[in-house]
Amino acid sequence: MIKKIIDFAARQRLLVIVFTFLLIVVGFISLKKISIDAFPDVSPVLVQVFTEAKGLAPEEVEKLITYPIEVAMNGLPDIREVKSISSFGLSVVSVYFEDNVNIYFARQLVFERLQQARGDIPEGLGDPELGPITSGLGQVYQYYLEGRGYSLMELREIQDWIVKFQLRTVSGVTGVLSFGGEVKQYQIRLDPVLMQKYDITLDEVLDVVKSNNRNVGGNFIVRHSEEYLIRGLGWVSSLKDIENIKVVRRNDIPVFIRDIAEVTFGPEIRRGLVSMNNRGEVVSGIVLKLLGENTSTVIENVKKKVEQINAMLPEGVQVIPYYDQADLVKKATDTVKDALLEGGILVVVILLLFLGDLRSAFIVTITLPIAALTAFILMYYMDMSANLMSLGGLAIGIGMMVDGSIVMVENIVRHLSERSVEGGKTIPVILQAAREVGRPIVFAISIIIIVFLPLFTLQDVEGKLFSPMAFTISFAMLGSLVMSLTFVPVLCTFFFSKGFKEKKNVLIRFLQSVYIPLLEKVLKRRVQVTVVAVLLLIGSLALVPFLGTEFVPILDEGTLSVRVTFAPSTSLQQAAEISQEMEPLLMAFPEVEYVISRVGRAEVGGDPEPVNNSEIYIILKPEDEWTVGSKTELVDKMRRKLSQFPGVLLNFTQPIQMRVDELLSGVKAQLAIKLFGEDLDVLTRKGAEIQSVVSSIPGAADVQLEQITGKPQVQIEVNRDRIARMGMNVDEVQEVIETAIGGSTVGQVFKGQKRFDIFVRYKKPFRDDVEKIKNILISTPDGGRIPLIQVADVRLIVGPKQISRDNSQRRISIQCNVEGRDMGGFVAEAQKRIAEEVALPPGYYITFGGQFENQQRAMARLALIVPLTILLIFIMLFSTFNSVRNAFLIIMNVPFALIGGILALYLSGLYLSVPASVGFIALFGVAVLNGVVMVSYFNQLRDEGLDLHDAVVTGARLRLRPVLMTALVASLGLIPLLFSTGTGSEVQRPLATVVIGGLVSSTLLTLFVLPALYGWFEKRRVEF
Amino acid sequence: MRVKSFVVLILAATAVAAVGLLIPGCEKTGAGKTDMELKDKKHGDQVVLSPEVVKNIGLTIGQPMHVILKQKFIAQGKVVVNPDYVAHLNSLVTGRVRKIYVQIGDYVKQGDPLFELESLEIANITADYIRAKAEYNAQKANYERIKALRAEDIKAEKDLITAKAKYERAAAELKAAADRKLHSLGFSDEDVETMFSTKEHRRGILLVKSPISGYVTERNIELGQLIQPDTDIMKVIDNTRIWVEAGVYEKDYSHLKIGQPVTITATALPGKNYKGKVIKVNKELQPESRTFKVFIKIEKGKAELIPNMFTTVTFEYTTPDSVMVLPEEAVQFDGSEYFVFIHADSTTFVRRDVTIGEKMDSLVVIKEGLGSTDQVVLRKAFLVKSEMEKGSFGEGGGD
Repeated sequence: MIKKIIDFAARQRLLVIVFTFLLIVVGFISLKKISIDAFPDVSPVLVQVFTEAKGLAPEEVEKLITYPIEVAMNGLPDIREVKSISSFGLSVVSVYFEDNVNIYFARQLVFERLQQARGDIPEGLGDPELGPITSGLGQVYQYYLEGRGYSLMELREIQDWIVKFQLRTVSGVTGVLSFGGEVKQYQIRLDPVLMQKYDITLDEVLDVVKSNNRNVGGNFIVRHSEEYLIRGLGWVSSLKDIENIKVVRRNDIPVFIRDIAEVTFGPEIRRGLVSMNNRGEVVSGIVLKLLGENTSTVIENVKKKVEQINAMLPEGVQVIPYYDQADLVKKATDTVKDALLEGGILVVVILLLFLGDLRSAFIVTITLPIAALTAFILMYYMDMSANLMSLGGLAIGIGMMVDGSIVMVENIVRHLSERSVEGGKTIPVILQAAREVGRPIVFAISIIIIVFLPLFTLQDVEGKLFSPMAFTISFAMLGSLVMSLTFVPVLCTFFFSKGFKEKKNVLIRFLQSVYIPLLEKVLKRRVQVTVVAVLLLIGSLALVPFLGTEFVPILDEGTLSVRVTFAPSTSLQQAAEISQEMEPLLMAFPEVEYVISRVGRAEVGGDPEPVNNSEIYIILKPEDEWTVGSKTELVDKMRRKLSQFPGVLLNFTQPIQMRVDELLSGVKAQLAIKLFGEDLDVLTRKGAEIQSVVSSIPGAADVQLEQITGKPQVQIEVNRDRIARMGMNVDEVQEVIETAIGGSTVGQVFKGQKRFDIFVRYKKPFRDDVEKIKNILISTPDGGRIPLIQVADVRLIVGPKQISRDNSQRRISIQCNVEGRDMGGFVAEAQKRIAEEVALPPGYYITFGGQFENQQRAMARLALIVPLTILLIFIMLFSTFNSVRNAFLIIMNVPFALIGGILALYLSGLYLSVPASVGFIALFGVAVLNGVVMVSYFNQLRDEGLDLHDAVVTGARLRLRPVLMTALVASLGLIPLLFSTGTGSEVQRPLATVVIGGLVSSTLLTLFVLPALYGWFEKRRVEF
Repeated sequence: MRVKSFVVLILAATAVAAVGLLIPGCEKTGAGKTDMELKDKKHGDQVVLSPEVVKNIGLTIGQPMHVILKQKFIAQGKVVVNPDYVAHLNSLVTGRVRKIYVQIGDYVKQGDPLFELESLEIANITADYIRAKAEYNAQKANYERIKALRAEDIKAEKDLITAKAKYERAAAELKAAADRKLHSLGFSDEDVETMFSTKEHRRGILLVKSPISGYVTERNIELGQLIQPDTDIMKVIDNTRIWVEAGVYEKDYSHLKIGQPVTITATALPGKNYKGKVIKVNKELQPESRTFKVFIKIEKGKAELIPNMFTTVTFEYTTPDSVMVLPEEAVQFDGSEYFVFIHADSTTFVRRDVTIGEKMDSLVVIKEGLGSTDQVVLRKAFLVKSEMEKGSFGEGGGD
């Protein structure tokens, strides 16, 4: 089969060239079309249902809105989890699907069920909507409106009706969220005193406004053979129109709205605002990218559109971006591109040095970009994006990609040079040489692909992060395989048509002259060498517990964000005030370019942040302008500076990181203990008990109880006896609470495309205080009015802030990190202690989750797959060598490769993380390959009749070059990643460290220990 | 072979174990940790804040105040005229308007003519009067003549008695006609006196004069209009004599007192207010409005208030003794208890539960729990509370 392919290629040389050329062209086209992102999107398949219920407290939101929606979502196929948050005025139900579900299909499923849920939500409370089709990486472009002399309301109007409108038309943009400023409303601010004097009820006002704002169609009339359409025009179009609506007529004299109310433009009740750089509030917008779109293209299009928009905005108003992922994408891809380029150059240098021949080096080098282009083609067809991780795969694989070609070229060159082939007769020799190594090349490349198998089976976050890497490596390896079997021999026939005379390679000869005497010494002290190797292995394994561990290193996004959490009862104004006091402190750092605070939440569809939360974006200047050494230092300084504000929690994070964390689990710690149950008070109380138990367990750090309560409420409970005496219904009181205190929208004013709400509410001085609320007058059926306090009890309590539910169960979470001990033991102890010390009422139960789950899941998965992979390699080795001993001898390289890797991690102070594990996996591949190269040649020499010692020494001498080359290209290809400081390098660095360190040890072992051990395995050689 | 494969398995397992060790543990989010360790230590109901922080955030610390707390409640009302200064003019008899002297809005003095009424009934009554007067005069003369004759013993005693009886009857009839009927109709003594001097044809005419000084506010007649006894013809009021009538709700009744000072504002006169005193309280609860009618006398500036203007009346009363108060901002609430923060030493703030009373104008009465010399956080106590609760409020995010 392999031979046939080689034969075919040799016969159809032109075809191969054309095919390769086509491959290059298609590769470049794919490269152009491929979507480019900063990072792989780890967001789950998630459909969110947002329901805005203006003015409703969390309990009612949960009962009336969240519950019916959740119930409707039960039993959907491929559903993983349903989570919900019911907070003041907003219900968010998140439906998580399995990763393989198409998002549009998932949305359709949810939408269908939502129809059913709509019927169960009481009329007028809120209309559920699906969230935007985007992900944690979706907020690609954020801007504010600069407009001196314009009010916040005017700017918001421009934002909502011009900027947002235009930006939504950009392809790839799924939505634009307006954030900050004041939404214009036509407000009717009623004066209850005047209403009382004119004897007008709230109902009458609402009714007349509703019934004085309508356009109708009166069909058409025919007039002299022409049709004239009839329109009845009755829309209000100005404040004056509203003022002049008649409410009642008293003694033939009409009482107008203007007689009892102030009609004016006013801001909609808001739950969020944005301020920046000390200059106070601004109006901003967030552009959401459609899931799966090419980030850089979308941003480019958005930028073009913004230019157009700026040209058409009123004088002095400009859209100015403050955050844009294009930078990040560019930086992240630049990091890998640089690494690829520099790695490639290093590889070429090694090739030149070791092959000592320009032509061979050229042939090998040219396969490198072609293999990479093959990967791009496959990536494009697999709908994968080029990002830090997938391109990182290429950077890691750069050394391995040339292996096949090196073996091929080396063998061809050796044959040509050994046989001193005359010009013109080279083709059969080349063909023979190619056939000879065809199988080993396929074998070697298969091994590399196989070692990356475990990465394909990773699930969830780790899967989404690292499978692209495994995919690109495999694709590139596949490309290099095809190239080395077809294109390389064909190219050789052209380049070496006149034969080849190998020159003496000075470097190799020098290395051999150093190596052989050393090897001889080693062979004489086989036992000692083996013992030392084993001791080193044990010693390095003993280092493992001293390595810090982390899941995945945090990617540096280049932008900081601080999440400031205030006490749950904090008002928007207070939160904004403190945020604005923090801004100048942050601006004082010379590293800081801009500071933007986003307090509360944007429009529906964004993050459902409460008003006691502020997210401060800190946009940093380029690192060379910094006065501090590192980001950690900067963060520490900022933390110290900001911690002078009492009563706030600071959490330094990054915009994307924060969003992704939230989408993934909602818990930002290693361990989340969730207590499920019905009663919020019991949950809070028992949660606090669990918190104190967990805090007392050794190893517990940062134990935090989720805040579900703490929002003060003014409860107005209607006294049924008293209203009965008055002849009133509960509704009559409730309506006043709803409209007089809360306000209601009674219609809209249309201004061209724009539409504005007409909002009715009491004037502020009549409702802004508990005492005033008590004195609000309610109309009685007798025509009198009585103060609210005479028919209702008004009291202050502290109620829930938000109600979180997982799978239709209320819950509270206690989160903590574990330091200085193993997670499993900690969890076991926590489970035992909680069971003993916290008595839970019936119906209450606890689950343990968080990243601890991730860890267990990854452990379980890798514990199954890694042995299987090693077994598979073993079987392949066995089928190649037909010998358990040889296969075993080669597999021995795997544990020995660990030595250098672990030591390198330890010395560099890096943590053991998923990328480090990927490094180890890659390391195993190269280590096994080197073993194969050595052992197969020893076997060959033994078969040729050499005695053990001669076979080992000769074999080792001749194989020094390929072994060193493989190791050097593999490790030098990674050197740029090791020293890169660019965005995203923090993820690749542990990987590179492990591979480089491991290759040093594994190469030494291959060169010294393996030959030493070979004898023992050889002596007792049994043929199967 | 079997042993060998066993050995292989063992070694493979070692390799696996080695790999297993390398699988990443848990995230240790450097950026994710909170600032707890950087903050001041605290435990329980105590907060420690450094003096710089206290200065930066602008905490104000001081002792509670003692004041006589002014309290108030509000009632809606309108301007009314003191009923003593309202005059309704109407007629007891059917008649025709003959002449009108005034227009609405005219100021009249007491006794100024308002209108003239022409009536057959009046003519009859006048005629009756004149007849009775004539009869009286005749009987009087007769009686005096007989009395003189009797004195000379010319007439018999019996005649004298008869004449006296006749005379007295005529006098009574005259009185009845003059006093009761004419005066009831509105004729004054002079009118009656001059009645005989007036011309014959004017005898059915009544000139109505204003009973009080004031403005004519109603005139429901036109010239020649026939009026019935139930017609309201004119109204004269003295709007300098005004009261404010207010409806006080049941909940405020216990604070109501005669003589209580009030402040009045009128919708039509924004920005102005008027002082007044409660002078009368209607002890009957109005069933529809569920209010007590209260009348208020205005002390100054009442000329600006026009009857029926809408007013808002603020009733003021004070606590009997001086009470301990704190700014509302100083008192925090945790769902069940109210509490304040005591500045225990230079850096420590301790929670102290208090019992609160009434609130007025952003002051709260502290009934229990606080001494006069306690150093209390007066402003921005919320920040101290946030700091105290910080440990428990955790990540409040959109989770």
